[in-house]
Amino acid sequence: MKKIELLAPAKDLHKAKIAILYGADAVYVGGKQFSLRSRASNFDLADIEELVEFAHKRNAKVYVTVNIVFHDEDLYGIKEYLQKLDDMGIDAIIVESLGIVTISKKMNLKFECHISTQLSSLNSLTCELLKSYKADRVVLGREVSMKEIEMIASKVDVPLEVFIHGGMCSNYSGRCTLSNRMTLRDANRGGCAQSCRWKYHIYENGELISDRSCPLSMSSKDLRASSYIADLIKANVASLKIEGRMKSDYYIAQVVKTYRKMIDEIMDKGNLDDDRIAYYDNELSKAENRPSDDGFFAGDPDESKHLYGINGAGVTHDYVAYVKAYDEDKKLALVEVKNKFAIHDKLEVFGPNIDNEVIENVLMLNEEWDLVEVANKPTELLYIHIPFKVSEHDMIRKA
Amino acid sequence: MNLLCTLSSKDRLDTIFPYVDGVICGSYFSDRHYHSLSDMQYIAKRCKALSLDFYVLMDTMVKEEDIPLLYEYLYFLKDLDVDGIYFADLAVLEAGIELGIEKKMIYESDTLMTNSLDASFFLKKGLKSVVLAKEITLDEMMKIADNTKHRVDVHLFGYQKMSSSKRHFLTNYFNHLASPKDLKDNMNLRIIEETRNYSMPILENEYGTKIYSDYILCMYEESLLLADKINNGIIDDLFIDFDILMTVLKDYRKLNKDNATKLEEELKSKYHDVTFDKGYLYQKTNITK
Repeated sequence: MKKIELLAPAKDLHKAKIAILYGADAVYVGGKQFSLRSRASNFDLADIEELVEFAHKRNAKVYVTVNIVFHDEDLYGIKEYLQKLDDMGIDAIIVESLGIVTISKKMNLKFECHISTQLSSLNSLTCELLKSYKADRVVLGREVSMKEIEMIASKVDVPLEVFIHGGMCSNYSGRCTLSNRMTLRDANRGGCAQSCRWKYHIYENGELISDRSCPLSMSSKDLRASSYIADLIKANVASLKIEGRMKSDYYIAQVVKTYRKMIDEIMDKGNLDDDRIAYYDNELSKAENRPSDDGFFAGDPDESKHLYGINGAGVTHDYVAYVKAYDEDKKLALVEVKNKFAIHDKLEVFGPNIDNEVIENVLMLNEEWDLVEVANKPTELLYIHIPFKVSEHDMIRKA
Repeated sequence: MNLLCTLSSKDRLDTIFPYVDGVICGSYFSDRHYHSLSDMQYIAKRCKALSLDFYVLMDTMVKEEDIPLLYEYLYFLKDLDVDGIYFADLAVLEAGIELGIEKKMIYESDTLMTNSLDASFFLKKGLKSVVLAKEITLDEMMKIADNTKHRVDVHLFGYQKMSSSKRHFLTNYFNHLASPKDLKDNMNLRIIEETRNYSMPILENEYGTKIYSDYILCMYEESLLLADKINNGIIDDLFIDFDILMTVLKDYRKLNKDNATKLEEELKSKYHDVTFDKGYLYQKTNITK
């Protein structure tokens, strides 16, 4: 089987490094300009430069999103920006605008141009046309089924990227301006207010026909395509993409690590049985803050794939600490507290090289070397006795 | 500027023809107003007799399995010698290029045509025109029109599509309530967000669900400013009362800089229970939160 890329999102430099350390082959990040997800604390050019160096040392790639739907006023400075990105050695831009693809090619920039899902590429003809327009890769729309992906991949020779995990637009990406009308925040220029996740009453000829206590929501469950990874690899898809540039480092670490292991196991064994998929699904659920399913992979979603009662994402508090250092002699880990936990909690450590090792009867000390029973101050530094070796960047959660 | 009107029924053709330069007809590959092949043949023939341009709307996203049908349909339209094809999915353009009809192609991407660079990109590929997004200001429209040597189309009147989904929101919702309803192609449905007053038409069909603006875009004065700068101005009759449609079409025939404001005020006064709005013509959306 051909090697497939695992592509992860990152909100900032720390999360990008986490993604790479936990097994991503490539990360995609947004610059401070020209990128969707305006609420993400996007990268300045110095961050991107540092990330490129960090990534390339580890044989990972860096893609930069230049994926807003541009207005004329947004185009000022774009050539200089593209040149700077190229000078830094980024590997690709993710872009909706074919005009910008043309500019990049005319400037002889070395990075690839990957066509954003904003263009809703859903069939082989579109992919072929985009290739003729110099696209180096096409990110398929999330509305394609597994069967359609196989059909498209068998017909085109442009590399394909497929979303496998994370939030779903309820509408075709790029073709929704509900947010513009409701809030004046431009959905296609990074300001989406996620108006599709709000509640709506339905009227027919002026008469209410929806349930007042359970109004319509267009909110979708998140995507989790774990059952289809083997099929995607066999279909010769080039890249498996995780959504979530707004997500936490814990989410990135857990999801990336799980898919990394899954892909490696499939490459090794050729397939996964139901028990192994169930195991990985359980791992993914540890980072889940919204119910998930397989989106359009099995066909058009029915009512079971929508969210009617839950408005927006909940927050998981299972992630309790981040390992900053480990003293092997004293078996003490210096950790940064993320969420509340106590000495009697059963905890587990996971990291790039450690799988769910359990700690019980936690011994905790603060920086004054006083014993601590409850860690309840986020960002506080504590020492925890851990009888097995852990490393910087490992994470601790409730078991 | 040619004035085009969407045609929800072939029976309306003879009524509206004195007021328009052409019509846009829904096809098998469009979200609404589907005309059968025989209807299309009739409309094409009748348009020729009435000296009207005949445009076809193909604004659905194309499924992989429908590609053979897409080619068949485009062959059919080529034989009909249509004047233009409005498409949303680039698959239609790719197939059109293969069939040698790219010069009839007009890119109607709903939301994506927001800058001169991308408009020029497609026009340089030989397309007939591109439709500007509704989410840009009048100044932006004028600038793009100038930068592209006036080869753009603009929506002038009607409810504006705000979102397009492959999901069947209404069917799924009522199934969730265990109270199934067949609401496909029902033109009488509106949704209102629970903390706002916008009453937005919603339309579900076999292709998915579309939501339209709570207001009717109305821009008499601005149409005059754009008139020398664009190919086609589009009047969209979707959800529009026929009486209003006819008033607007007649207004456009007599529209000039001296009467534009007055005619628009009269329209609003006559149909005071209908919401007319300028959309984003004078209102920029924010890039950030």
